[in-house]
Amino acid sequence: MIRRSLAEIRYTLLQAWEQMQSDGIDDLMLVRAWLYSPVAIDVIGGNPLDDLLCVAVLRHFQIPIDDLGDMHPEPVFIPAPLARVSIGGTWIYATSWRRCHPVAMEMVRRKRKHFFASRFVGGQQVDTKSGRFRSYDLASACVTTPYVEWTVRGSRAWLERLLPLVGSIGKDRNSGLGSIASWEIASTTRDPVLEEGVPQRGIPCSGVDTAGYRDCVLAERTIRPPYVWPGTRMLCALPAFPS
Amino acid sequence: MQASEREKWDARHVAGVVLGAIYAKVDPQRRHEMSDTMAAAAARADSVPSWFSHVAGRFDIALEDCWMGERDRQAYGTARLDVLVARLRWPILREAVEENPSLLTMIAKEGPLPDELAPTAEIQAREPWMMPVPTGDLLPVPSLRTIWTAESPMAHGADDRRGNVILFRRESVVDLLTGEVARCPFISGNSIRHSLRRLAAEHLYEFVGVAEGAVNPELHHALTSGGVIDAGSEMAKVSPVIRRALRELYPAWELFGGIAEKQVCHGGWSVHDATLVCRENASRLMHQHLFPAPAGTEAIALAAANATGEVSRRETRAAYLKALTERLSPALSLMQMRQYTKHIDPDVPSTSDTMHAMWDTEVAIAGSQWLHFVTVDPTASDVARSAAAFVLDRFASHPYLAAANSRGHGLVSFAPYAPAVASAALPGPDLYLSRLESMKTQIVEWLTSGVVAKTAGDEPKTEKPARKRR
Repeated sequence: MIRRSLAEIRYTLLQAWEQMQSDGIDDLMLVRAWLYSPVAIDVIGGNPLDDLLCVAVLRHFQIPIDDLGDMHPEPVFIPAPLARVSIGGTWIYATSWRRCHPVAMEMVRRKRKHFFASRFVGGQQVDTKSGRFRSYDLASACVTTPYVEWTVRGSRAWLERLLPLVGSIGKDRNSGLGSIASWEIASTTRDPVLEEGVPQRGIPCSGVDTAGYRDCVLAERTIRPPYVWPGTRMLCALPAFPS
Repeated sequence: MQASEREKWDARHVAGVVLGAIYAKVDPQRRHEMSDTMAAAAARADSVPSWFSHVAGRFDIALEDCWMGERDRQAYGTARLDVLVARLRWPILREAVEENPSLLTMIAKEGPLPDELAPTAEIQAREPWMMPVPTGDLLPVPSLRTIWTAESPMAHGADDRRGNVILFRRESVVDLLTGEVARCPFISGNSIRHSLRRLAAEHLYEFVGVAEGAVNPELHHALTSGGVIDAGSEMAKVSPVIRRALRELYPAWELFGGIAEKQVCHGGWSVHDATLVCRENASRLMHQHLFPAPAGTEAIALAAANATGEVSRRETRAAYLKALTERLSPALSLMQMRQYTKHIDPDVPSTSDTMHAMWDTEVAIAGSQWLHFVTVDPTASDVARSAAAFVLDRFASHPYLAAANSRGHGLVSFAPYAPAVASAALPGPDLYLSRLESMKTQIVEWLTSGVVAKTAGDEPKTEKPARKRR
C-alpha cells in the first residue's frame, strides 16, 4: 500500500465529498444490521451510523487510520454520504440512533487476559496478581438481538458500497462482539432526526425552542464524527429509547 | 422443540414445590450450598429424577421418603416428591434452570405461592410472534470463513464456576422462528484470537532464533496477550513513527494490534465468535448460505417461485429458515459431561496442599461443527494480509483451540478459510516470511530490548505546552 501525505488524504476526501454531493443524498432509508453475536452497549447512542460510515469511507479509499495523525488541533474532515440537517445554526447528519429489535436481552460478556507464561523462563519474576502483568477479567455489557437498525437520509448507492466494509460494530468488535452477518437497506417514511416531537438522535439545543420535544432527556454529547473529539460537545436533547 | 413459556412456568412451579420440600429438610447451616448444588446437578444429570436425586442426595435426603411441604400441602393437597418429579419433562426443566438458576433457589427458600407464581396476563395474552426475516436485498460482509469439525471434545469454560462442575460457555440467542431466547454454546472470538496471536508470536521466536526466555517480558506480554496499559504512561501521545516501525518490523502486529511502547495500536482484523451448528443458531447460519435447503421442502418450491416473482422474498427466507431449523440438531444433544479425577500418589507423603479431586467438564461432542469467520480490514497492507494467510495456514497445522488442549480437547479439522461472497482472497504467506527474513537482525534486537529502532529525525517535534495564564 502506498503511504499518502496528509495533504493528499485531505484532497482525496474532499473529492469524495464532492462526488457524494453530486450523486445526491436524499434517499430516506432504513438500514438494518443482522447480527451474529451480541453487540456491546458501552455508550448511550452507541455506534452512530455516521461514525461507522466515516470509517467505511477511509476503508473505501484505502486510508489507514494511523495515517490521519493526531486530532490536534482539529481532526481531518471525513465525509459521510448522508444529508445534513441544520439545527440552531449547527449541522448534524440525518441519521437516527441505533435501535434494537423488540426482543433484546441485556447480558454480560467477560473477557480474560493473562500473562502467557507456559514456556516463559526469563530470569525476571512475573507477578500476575498486580502490576503490569496482572491478569484481568473484564466485563462488557452487551445486548443480544436479531438486528439493530437506523433511519437515515443519504445516498443509497454510496451506502450499498460502504456498508459491506463494516464487518462488526461496537466495543470489542475485533474479538467477537457486534459481528454483522448482513446489511439490509429498505425504504421508510420515518424521520431520522425528529419524529412527531420525539428526538431520534442527539439534537443540539443551543438556540432552539425545545418546548415541543417529548420523550427526551437533556445532556451534553458530541454531535458528529469523530465522536471522541470533544470539539463538538454541546447540550443536546437525547432520545429516551434504549439504544 | 423449544419449550413454551407455559411449559416452563409449569416446570418451575412443580420444581419449586419439590425444592421447597427439600429445602425445609436441609440442615440450616448447609442451605447456602443449594444454589451451587442445583447448577452442578443440572450439568451432571441426564433425567429429571436423577437431577432431583443429585440435589437431595447431596444433603442425604431420599425423595421416596419425602412429602410436599406443609404450606404446599394446604394449597394443593399432598403427593410424594418422587411422584411429583415424574411429571416433569427434562428438556423443559433444564431450560428453565439454565435460564435462571437463582430463581429456583429463591422458590426453594421462600416456598411457592399460588398468586405470585400464576402465569401473568402478559404471557397468556401474548401477541403471536412475527418472525423477523430480511425482506430486502442483503449486502454480505466480505469475510473468510470455514467450518470446523471437532475431532475431539471441545471445552470452553463458562463465565461462572458451579462447584466442581465447569460448564461450557453460553450466550443468549433469539430463535427467530419462535421468538424464544435460548442459551447456546459458543467459543468466544477473544479466545480464538489469542490462539492465533500466540501461534504467530511463537513462530516469530522460532524463525529468528530467540528463546522465549530471552524476550523482553513486556514485549512478550504484548505479542502473546496484547500487552497492558502501563500506569503513568502518556496515552495521549500518539506516535505514528513508532506505530509504523512496529508494523514494518512485525507485520502480524498490524493484524493483532496491542499496546507496545505506550502506543495503543488497533488490530487490522476481526476474529469472530465460533457459532455451533445447531437448531438454535439456524437464523444466524442462514446468512452464510452454507447449507442448501433440504430436497423436497417447501423452501425449494418457494425459491423457484421467488425467481419468477410469484412469492415474496420474506416467505422464501422464512421457509428456508424453517427447513434449516428442522434439519439441525438441538444444542443440548451436542453437549456432554466429562468427568476427571486426580489421585494422590500413595508413595508421596501427602501435605495439606495435596488432595484427591473429582470434577466435571461440559464439552461439545467430537463431531460437532462450528462456523467460524474472520474479517480482514480492507486498509491492511499487502504484507499484513500475507501475515493473515500465514497465521491461518499455521492454525491449520496446529489446530487446537479453547481449553484443556493438553487433555486432548479442542482438536479441530477444517478446510482452508475461503472468501465468502464478494471478498478477495488473501495473498500467499511468502511475502510475510520474506519480510521477516529481511528484518531478522532488527527483530532480534527488538525482541531482546523491547524497544523498536526508529529512524533518526522521524519523530515529529513535540508541541510546546501552552503558556500558563497569569
